[in-house]
Amino acid sequence: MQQCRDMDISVFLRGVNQKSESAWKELYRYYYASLCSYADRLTGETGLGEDVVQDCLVRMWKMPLEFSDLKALTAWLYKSVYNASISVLREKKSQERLYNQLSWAESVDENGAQNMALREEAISRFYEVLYKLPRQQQDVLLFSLRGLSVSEVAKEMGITENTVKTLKKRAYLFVREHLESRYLYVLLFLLFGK
Amino acid sequence: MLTKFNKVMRWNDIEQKADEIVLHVTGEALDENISAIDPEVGHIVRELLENNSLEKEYCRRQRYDYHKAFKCISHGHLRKIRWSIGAVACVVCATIGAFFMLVESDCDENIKKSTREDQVKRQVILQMGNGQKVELNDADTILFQEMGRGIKVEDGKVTYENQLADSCRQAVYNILSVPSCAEYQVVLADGTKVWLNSNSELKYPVVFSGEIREVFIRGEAFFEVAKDSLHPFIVKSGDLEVKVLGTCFNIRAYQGSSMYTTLVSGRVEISHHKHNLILKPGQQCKVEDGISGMMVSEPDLDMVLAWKNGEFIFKNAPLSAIMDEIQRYYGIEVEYVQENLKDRKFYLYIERSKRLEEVLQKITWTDQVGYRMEGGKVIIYD
Repeated sequence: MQQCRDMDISVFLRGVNQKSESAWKELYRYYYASLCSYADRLTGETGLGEDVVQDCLVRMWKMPLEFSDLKALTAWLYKSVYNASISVLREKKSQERLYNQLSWAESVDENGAQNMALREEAISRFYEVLYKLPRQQQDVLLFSLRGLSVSEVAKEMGITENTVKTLKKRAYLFVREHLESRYLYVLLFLLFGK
Repeated sequence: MLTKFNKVMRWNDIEQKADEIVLHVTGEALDENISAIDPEVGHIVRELLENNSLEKEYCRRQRYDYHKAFKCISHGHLRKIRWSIGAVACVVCATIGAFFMLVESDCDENIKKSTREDQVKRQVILQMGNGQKVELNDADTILFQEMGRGIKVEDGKVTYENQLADSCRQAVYNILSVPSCAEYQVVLADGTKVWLNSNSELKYPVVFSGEIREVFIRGEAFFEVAKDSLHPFIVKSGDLEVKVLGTCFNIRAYQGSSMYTTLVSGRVEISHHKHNLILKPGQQCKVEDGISGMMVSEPDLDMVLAWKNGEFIFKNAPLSAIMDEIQRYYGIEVEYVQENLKDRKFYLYIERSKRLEEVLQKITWTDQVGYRMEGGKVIIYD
């Protein structure tokens, strides 16, 4: 989640399918934290999240899986973490008496779990884009998210309000372009095969 | 946090919808006019935009370090990994059991009050070099000086003007005292950040001079020490001395309790009664006042650092441990109808800003135990 993903999506997917180490490292780099966060929430913050995720990934590594596109990979990852978390939770419930950590887990059906997964993925996606932004645009976006007004941002960054507004526009265009270009990659991958 | 949606979303939709969410979150933050969003996704967008959720989540995720997990695959060690500590700051928690100077007579009056809101809001107090005490009110931003150095107080934090060089002057000490139901942060002249838990006190020089940087702690604090290899940073509490070789650690030393030093990142060297020990990240060292010997363990960092994030986190912890924290934080007394109730285990995850009643209700929700309020005390029964 720290740096931008420089690997082509098509190269990435191919690498994941072929069990290439560099692609798998990328997979870990991008998905690990969000999957762990997801698993921790599903298992009621009992700290089992990382074990659950690692189990799933190791299993996936051993299996001859082939993902045709990114959405299938993303779906598979979150869904298997969900299934693993639920069975861990069931095991815990049968072993112990009900504990009051169920505020998340108890009311989560599959639909709710999908939404939780979506939220985690969105967070990773956001930071991925954020780190690709030029520094000033990054700052403007972060300050704006904190609720600072244009004039407050201008003061913080030592620039004029007009510059802030320009940076805001540019940042948005950058993000939009970046997101749209992902589809181009995926499309190319599908068109030109493996 | 989540509401149920009638429209069924498929797992395959996550990839595309995540992009939509990012677009909308960014657009809203940047004042762009974007087309209306799918209601099922709009809910997530709104939640992420509120209360700095995004940043909080990002910080929360710092605990997960993919490197070790990935190594298991690449080196063919396909065993489970234990929770590894990432590059997150170290927190040396040194809880110094020390004295309760803060509590004093205020405590007696407040024992009658049961909820946090009812309590008179006690002040965080800063004692200057000349002994003068200043109350640090949350609402104001105060700027004043000590020894020609600027001190800025704002929003739960007091910052000392950064000292650019070694000072040759004799050290003048300030003391920051935090009462119950509060936390406070101080940034020292060398840039070291210290978070103080309730019922804690930190004594530190206004400007660091000499070969070592030395501070004194009572209670609980989290240190993020500014790098300066020429001047080791030493935290003292009673007989315990923690020498910082790295960056962050948490110290927990309340009176009448054992002293715990927990390292999050970097390296610290612990000295107590002629015993020395170098801690590694993720390790905790426990010592007792007046007793020789150290015990090292690997605690759950979530629980150790919960207070710093404004939370109570207990995972399968005995009720006595939970109620000890609650007693300390809310300033009330707890009694058990039967002694064995203390050993019952509970999970608890709640914000500290909640009222005492809410916290008690959450604990007793599963009916393992019940509680009632009597004369300002909490009585726990079966």
